[in-house]
Amino acid sequence: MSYTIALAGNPNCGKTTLFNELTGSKQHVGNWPGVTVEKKEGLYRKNKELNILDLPGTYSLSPYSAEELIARDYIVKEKPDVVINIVDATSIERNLYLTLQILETGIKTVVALNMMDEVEQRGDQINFDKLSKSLGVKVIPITAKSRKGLDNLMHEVEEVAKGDIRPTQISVFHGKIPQIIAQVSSVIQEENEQYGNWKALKILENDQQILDSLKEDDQLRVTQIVNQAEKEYQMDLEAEIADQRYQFIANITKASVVKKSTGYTETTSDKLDKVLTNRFAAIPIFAIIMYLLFATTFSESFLFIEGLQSPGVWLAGLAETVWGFLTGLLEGVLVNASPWVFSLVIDGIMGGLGAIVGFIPLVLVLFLLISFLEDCGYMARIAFVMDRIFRKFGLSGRSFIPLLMGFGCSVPAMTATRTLESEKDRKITTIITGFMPCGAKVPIFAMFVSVFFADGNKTLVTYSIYMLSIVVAILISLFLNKVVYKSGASNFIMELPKYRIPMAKTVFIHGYEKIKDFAIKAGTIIFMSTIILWLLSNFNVDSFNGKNAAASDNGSNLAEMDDSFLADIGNVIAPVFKPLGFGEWRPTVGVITGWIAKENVVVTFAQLYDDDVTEEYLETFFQKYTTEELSDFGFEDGVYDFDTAFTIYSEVILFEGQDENAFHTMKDDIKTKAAAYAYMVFNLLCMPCFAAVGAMKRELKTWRLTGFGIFVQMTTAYLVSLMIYQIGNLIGKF
Amino acid sequence: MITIVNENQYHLKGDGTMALSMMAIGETRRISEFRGKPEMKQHLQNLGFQKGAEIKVVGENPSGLILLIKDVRIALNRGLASMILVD
Ligand SMILES: Nc1nc2c(ncn2[C@@H]2O[C@H](COP(=O)(O)OP(=O)(O)O)[C@@H](O)[C@H]2O)c(=O)[nH]1
Ligand SMILES: [Mg+2]
Repeated sequence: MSYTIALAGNPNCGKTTLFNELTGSKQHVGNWPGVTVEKKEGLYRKNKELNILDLPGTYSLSPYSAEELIARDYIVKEKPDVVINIVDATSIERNLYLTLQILETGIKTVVALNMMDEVEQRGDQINFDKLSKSLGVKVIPITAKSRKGLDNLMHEVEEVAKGDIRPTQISVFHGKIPQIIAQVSSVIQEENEQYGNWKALKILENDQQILDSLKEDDQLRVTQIVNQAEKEYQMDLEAEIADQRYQFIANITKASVVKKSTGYTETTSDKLDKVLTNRFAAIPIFAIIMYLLFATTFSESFLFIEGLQSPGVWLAGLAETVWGFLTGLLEGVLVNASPWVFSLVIDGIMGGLGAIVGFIPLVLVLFLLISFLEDCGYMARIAFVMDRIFRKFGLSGRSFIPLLMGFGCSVPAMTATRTLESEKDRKITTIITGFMPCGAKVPIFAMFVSVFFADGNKTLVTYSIYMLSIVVAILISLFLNKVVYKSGASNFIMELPKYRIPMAKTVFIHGYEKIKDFAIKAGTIIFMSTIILWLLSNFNVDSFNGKNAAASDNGSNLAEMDDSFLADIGNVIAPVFKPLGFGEWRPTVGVITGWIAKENVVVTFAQLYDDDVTEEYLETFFQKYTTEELSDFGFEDGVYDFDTAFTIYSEVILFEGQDENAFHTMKDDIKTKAAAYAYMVFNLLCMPCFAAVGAMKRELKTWRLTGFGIFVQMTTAYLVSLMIYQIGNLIGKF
Repeated sequence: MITIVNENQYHLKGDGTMALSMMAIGETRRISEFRGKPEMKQHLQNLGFQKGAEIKVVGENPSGLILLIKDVRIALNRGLASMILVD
């Protein structure tokens, strides 16, 4: 026999911690209210009959956000065998509000009073037996963090699951309410009386979803009953019901909870908040933390120490070295394979995936740090502090987190928009997250800046790109708010969880969950697309009629890239980009491969301009490095062959913008600085990679809206690049 | 007019209702009414802002206020705070 046990509770009550301790499964723990979005399941370690399920955190069963609906629908429709309702005992009154609503559904429930360590620390006392009697269900004290009381809890849960122990009916409501419930219930006529009463109660609470589920004439009749009651008794039923629940809670807590100090005492969290959300200090502190966040991830001279690589950069270098080694091994294995197999595996798959290997560590470090900020409680404060600024352009401070994650990878960033309560904010944030300079776009800037702006302040040019992405995001958000949705900022309300030093394990699990989306993207879409790209760039019509094979000396039917299907596609689209200054087929192909994955752009350039990247060129280029530096790049013990050199050149040198003289012929296609800048900007702002489009579709739900989002991104990219090129040209003339 | 005797006790004379956004740091009052969309009203109720609930302002900054309600800290923007009436 197997039983489903659902965990339900307010955000931050310790649900995920309990889930992890019960199942031993790897799963995320956060301080960001409502961060647990999906249903997560796992078997109880000590009794595999019990299947445990983590529901999204919710404040009530009258759902306000999309996430809350998941929890409510699950409890009411799927009917788990037992609900473990986790109550944060340090804020018992607020938490019991959900408890009452769960009990109203009549489902078998066990209440777990969590955070008992903190209660004891405060010196408060709770009479569990009394509380249990008042609620009509078992109440078990636990401390999820240190696993205290869990055996006891699960013993009780098992008993309830197997036995026929229903919650004892308690009467929460009084006055006219029970009578009105009975009236409505008699109209609905559910077979199960308790379910009927629950539905009736929700109808009194103005629950549109339940009302819509009724037959049309029943809808009319119940609305009539509700309206008449409200008029006759002169009360707002919904408020009255909430009121009576809280009254009931106040009464039972008065009877069973003894607080050591009743007044307000300033906690450590309050003291920290005085500084971290301070009128003057908040923004400077925030700026320093953001600087540290990005420096730890991307900096070549970490903490201003020349030559000291940040953890992110160091890991990236390590990953590249390992990848180079693996590619070398495979080359050894495939020496005797046919040319096209060799090309597919080494150039197509290893080369294509190799491009992302270098920045997976960067994204990982960034996400670990973001997870740390979320788990310690600071992110909720940032959302609050930033709200004042975001409000000016029509968003809420909550949009900050997805946008910040967009600097790493837009796929998990777009997923993070689910925590936004307002649907409008969710849509706008998803669309503008596509503008962020994600890790995969960075190599494009590095290469272009080094080639075209070698004589200027390279850092300044790069920063200007970052600033531009933010300015454009703001303007487009304003535009969408004012013109498309015709509304302003929605209200901001958010619980500020206590500051807590997160457990390392917790941060790693959390960071892992974020990077998982990215890894799946790398594993599937990028993998597929590298193969498609390889096909398009290595084949043409003549590959299939034998002409290529006849012309080549080793009988290979592969085509040169300049002569491939990809070149044909580039040639057709190129004229569109004439006004932007890069209307040639090769830069166009760069843009297209960028849609498959932005990290493709630079590698594509190396392949397209291979006339520039000759054997002699590379030999001269690498001569200026010492043996040690060369082995850092990934050359193995002085072994130097053209293929390795080419791979290292395109995936290390170009990615990091280390060759100022790269691609002479590129300058025939992209002639001016203005055109180069326009090209960077177009790649920055246009449609993100297909993996991100997939994520956009998941969040925006319909293809129509996704199409609209892509249209906005494309148009913005085109117009901004057009302006940059045309204005840049004008200035250049003087 | 309202005369605050001390932090936890206050007396009302006449119509003492005012907006939550007008409260000073450290002040404690009771919620009397919400003027806004029904969905927000319900969400507020779920968070413990029902009629008669005691709230205390523990912090403020240009974004809004930090309130203590039922042992929980909640941040909200000034616009929303001005729709909540207290007495
Ligand atoms: N002191 C204490 N902290 C806990 C306990 N259970 C969880 N926490 C902490 O409370 C915070 C929120 O927990 P989490 O499991 O993410 O809550 P969720 O949002 O309900 O999933 C985390 O920082 C946990 O480490 C406990 O029993 N005692
Ligand atoms: Mg959680």
